[in-house]
Amino acid sequence: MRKVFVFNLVTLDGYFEGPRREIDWHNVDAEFNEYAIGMLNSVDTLLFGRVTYELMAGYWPTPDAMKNDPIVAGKMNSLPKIVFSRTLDKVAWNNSRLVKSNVEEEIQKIKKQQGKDIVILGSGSIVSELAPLGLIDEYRLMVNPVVLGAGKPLFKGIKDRLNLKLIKAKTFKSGNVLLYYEAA
Amino acid sequence: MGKVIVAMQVTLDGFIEGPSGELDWAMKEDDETWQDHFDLVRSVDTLLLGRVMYPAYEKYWLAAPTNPSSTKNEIEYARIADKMQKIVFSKTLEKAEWKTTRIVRDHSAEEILKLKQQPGKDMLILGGAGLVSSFMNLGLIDEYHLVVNPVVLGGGKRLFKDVKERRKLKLIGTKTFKSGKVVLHYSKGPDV
Repeated sequence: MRKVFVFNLVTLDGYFEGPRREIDWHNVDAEFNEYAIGMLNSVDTLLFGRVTYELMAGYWPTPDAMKNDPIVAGKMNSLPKIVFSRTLDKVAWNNSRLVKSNVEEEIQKIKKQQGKDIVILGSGSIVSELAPLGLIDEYRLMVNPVVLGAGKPLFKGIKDRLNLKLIKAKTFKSGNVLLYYEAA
Repeated sequence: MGKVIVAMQVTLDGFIEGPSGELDWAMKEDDETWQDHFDLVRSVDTLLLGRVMYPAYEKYWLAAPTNPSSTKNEIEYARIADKMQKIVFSKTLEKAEWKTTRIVRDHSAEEILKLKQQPGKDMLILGGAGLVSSFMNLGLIDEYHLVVNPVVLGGGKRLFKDVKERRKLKLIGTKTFKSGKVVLHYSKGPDV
């Protein structure tokens, strides 16, 4: 069965965004881009919560993104996207579909369909909602060599301890460490 | 001048204790983690401890040699820690039971720089969050040796909660253990 995995850049103190949603600490280089392209090639669906969706929909279709990052932008724009939101009425980014309720049911359904893996990018609230339901198979967290001291925790709102099993760790020249875990 | 190294266990979400002070996730018996800790402790000549954690830490490790539930590794650590010079930073602690502990009332930058400038080996900060943040805010930490545990707590005490400004670090190395713990080893970055 296809997997649902989370891919996120996080700080050493566990934040995926700064207090004002800053992501300027993202430590990215050619090696990161190569990894990101490989990762996007391994999936056929992107899952988002509203906040991350709006951020990404406001960037990837722009001429800037196409110029700076043509391969990743091409994939982000063309891949099928599912947006979980109770408040949005429509989603305009190419190949996006809005799901307003029954997130659990929706994920169970897509997992049973044939296809490549499914990735959740950013979307702290979706990660915190799906993790306790056992709907996330893998966590791939890229720990950046930075401490912010404050920000948006990736796992905010998780009430019960989540035990994980380390699969592997991969070190990047930039000082990022990608930790792969599966649900224990 | 010796280095100041932070050596602590954290969860994947950045906590050093659960919401009710839980540490069981970090204390699971694991020979590789203990060996790593022994190597680190033997490479320094002073352990630095914060005032909040100190009383329980002292009590636990003073009792460990005669505590019937102590493991072999714990008894070994109690023996090593007993001999080490320890400094606790506290304005209020009246006295330390541990004979090898010295109480330092003043943890201003000058006092800590004085400690760093004394001849000797490196110093290891074993916690807690308050002491680590104070040292970080003064730019006085040279290395971080964090053992990341394969668990998400969702709440508790954050290691870097009181860090006031962004600190870039430089990755020195990593180690993975069979238990799923990963050591992330950093030195201070260019902006400190």
